[in-house]
Amino acid sequence: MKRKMSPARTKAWIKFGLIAFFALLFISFALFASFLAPYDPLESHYTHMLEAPGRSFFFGTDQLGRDLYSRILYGGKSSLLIAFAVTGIVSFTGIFIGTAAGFFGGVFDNLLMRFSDMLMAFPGSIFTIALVSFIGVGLPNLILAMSLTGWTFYARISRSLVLSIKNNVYVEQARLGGASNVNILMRYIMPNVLPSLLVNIFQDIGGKLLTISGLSLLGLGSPPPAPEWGFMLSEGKNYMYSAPWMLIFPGLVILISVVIFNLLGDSIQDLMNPRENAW
Amino acid sequence: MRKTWKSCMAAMAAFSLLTAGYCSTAYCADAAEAETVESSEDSHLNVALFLWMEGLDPADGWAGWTSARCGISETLLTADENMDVVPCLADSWEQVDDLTYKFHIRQGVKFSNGNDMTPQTVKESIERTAELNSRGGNLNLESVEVDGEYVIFKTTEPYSAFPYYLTEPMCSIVDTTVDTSNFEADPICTGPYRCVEYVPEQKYELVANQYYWGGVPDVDSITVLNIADDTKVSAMLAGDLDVAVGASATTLSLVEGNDHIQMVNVTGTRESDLEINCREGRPTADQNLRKALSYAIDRDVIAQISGSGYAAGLGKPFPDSVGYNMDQVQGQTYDTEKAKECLELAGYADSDSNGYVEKDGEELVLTIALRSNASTAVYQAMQDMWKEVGIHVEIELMENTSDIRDTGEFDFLGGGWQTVNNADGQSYLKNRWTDGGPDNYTGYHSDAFQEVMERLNQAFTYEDRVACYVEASQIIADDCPTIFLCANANITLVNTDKVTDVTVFPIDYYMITNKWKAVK
Repeated sequence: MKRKMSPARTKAWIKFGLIAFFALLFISFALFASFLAPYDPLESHYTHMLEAPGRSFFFGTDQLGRDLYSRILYGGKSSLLIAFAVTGIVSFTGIFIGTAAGFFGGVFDNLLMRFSDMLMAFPGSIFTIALVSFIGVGLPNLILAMSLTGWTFYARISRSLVLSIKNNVYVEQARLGGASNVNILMRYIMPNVLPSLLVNIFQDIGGKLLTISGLSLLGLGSPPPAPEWGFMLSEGKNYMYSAPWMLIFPGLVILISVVIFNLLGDSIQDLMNPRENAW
Repeated sequence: MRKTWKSCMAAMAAFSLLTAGYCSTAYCADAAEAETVESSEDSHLNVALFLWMEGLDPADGWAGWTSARCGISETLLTADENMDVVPCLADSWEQVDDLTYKFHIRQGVKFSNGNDMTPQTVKESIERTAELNSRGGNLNLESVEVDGEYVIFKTTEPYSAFPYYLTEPMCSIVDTTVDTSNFEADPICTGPYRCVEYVPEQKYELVANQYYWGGVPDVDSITVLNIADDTKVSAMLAGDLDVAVGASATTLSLVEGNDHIQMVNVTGTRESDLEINCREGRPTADQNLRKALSYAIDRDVIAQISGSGYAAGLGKPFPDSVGYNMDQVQGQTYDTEKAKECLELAGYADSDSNGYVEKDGEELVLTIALRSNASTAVYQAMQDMWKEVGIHVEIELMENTSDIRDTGEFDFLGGGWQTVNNADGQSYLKNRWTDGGPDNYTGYHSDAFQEVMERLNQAFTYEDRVACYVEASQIIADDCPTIFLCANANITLVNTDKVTDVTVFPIDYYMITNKWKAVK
């Protein structure tokens, strides 16, 4: 007999579908920037400097006459790519370390967690800024600096999840049945840990996007003239009065993308724990 | 009950008397300190300076520039709005011989504390600056002597720039007969205003100097505020500021056509440029490559981007506002064909057709080092212009560029300089392009330039000096150790409902004068 889906779960699925559609739309815009952008994002039009949004330039032009719409499309590629890359690196590293620490325990656990505590003692953004200043400005260094500080969050959560699971009866039975540590981890523990972490991972993408934009705003991100949303904001702030569109459009896309990825995380959570008030 | 009531009244009366007594004493003490009493009808202005700097003691670093801007300090000679050097605290001067200058000290001048300015205080003040200020050595002073109403300066070598150096705000005359330990906040000088309160990083409170020799200023008090350049226009529009200097060019369109805010625009004496590393071993040691880099730059576009319409393209060391017959100098120009010719002469060609030139199979890649918080628009435009002729230039952002500047590990450095920081261009040329010059970061050397600068030391007439400036400027423009980009405008915004008669000088260390008239 086919089980009927509860109304709460149906709502959660609709919400997830809708938000995932927008997220995919956003990602597609970035991925197909070269087809969608009417101009080369680096091409200057010195006779059209600081031109207001119009037919020729949908979002207007910047101080060098570059098309803002094209720059935002291309900028999405790098901004989203960095956000995904950093989130991927920190979540993988954190989950790996946290799971290993929680599962094996003992000195290994103590060492890893004390190291994690040490890193968490510094305010994340300040530590990243200091690190980028030390190792040099640029995208690879920015990714490295953010990754070095970001994994601790995932390590903490995954460790506590593993600790709550590893003494369950089914894990004990698997052990008694002769399953190896890797087997237990991969077949009995990770399937229970990962779904909970998935919510954090998706919610973190928005946060990382915001951090990257913030650091680029300070001039610590991608070097010019590469289009990057945070850097475009940084350039736009000098023209806040004379060309506000330089600030408005990059700001809007950052806002929308952060909201979408945060909502995506929420919708995944609702999907796993459907509630009546999913909307 | 009646007794209690009387006691209360007596206590209140006593308290009132005590309070009144205390207040009047405190008020008198404050007033005595300020040496001015403000009434409710006093005129007051809020002013934002160009380039906020801490402290006011003229002998301390560049603090004299701030005290000059605030109208606190004055020098023996000064530069007027036409860039002519005119008498100030010295009413006349003469050159006795190649080493000796005789200045007649203006009589009847008083310091802001009421003390007389005497030739002896002038001597001690200049000696104090020569001793305390790191630029004091530039005076080349052998001795300072007092002869009646005259002060006689002797230089260590023939030094024709000496009288001009006395216009530098570090040479402002201070009262050396008083305790100088508080000069950072309240230097005793001869200018139309005196600072009565200094709050670091925030403000200087000025009051009119009642002893000012040029007549007590019409504006009784001024608050000089530290306000970011990009918010000055907003502050003017909101009425929080009455005069603002150095507002961000990108915001000026907001006050264009405003009936209450006058925009006074004078071509300044500051320039913006890009320095090129000339040291052996660097690709840019090749003069032809430097010329190619220079020819590729459209300075009018750069000026538009840099100054939002309030700057002028520049291809020579001095802006026209300085004078010096700069129209006789063939400046650096924009010509992409010549840029390509120069690249060929330097041995560069795009052999792999990737859009960028190579030499010996290696692509030419140059780097502009910038501070991470710097505005990059101008440099991005130049990067774009160089790309047009096939030169690959990258922009590198870093926290601090002073390290690579000092070690010489760079291709380009962006910068901007005051070209006549003592109403004369000799120190600017000498410091930037002579061998061992303190600001010669490019490692540039030219025998011809050295020879002109030697000659300039002994050029005592204005005509001879101008001839040297033309010759030296031509050498620099031709050799391209520096690509000159634009001359910035000195823009002052004035709320005409509050103040009139605001004069704007080409040199940006002159600002507040006793000529400002408050609108009653």
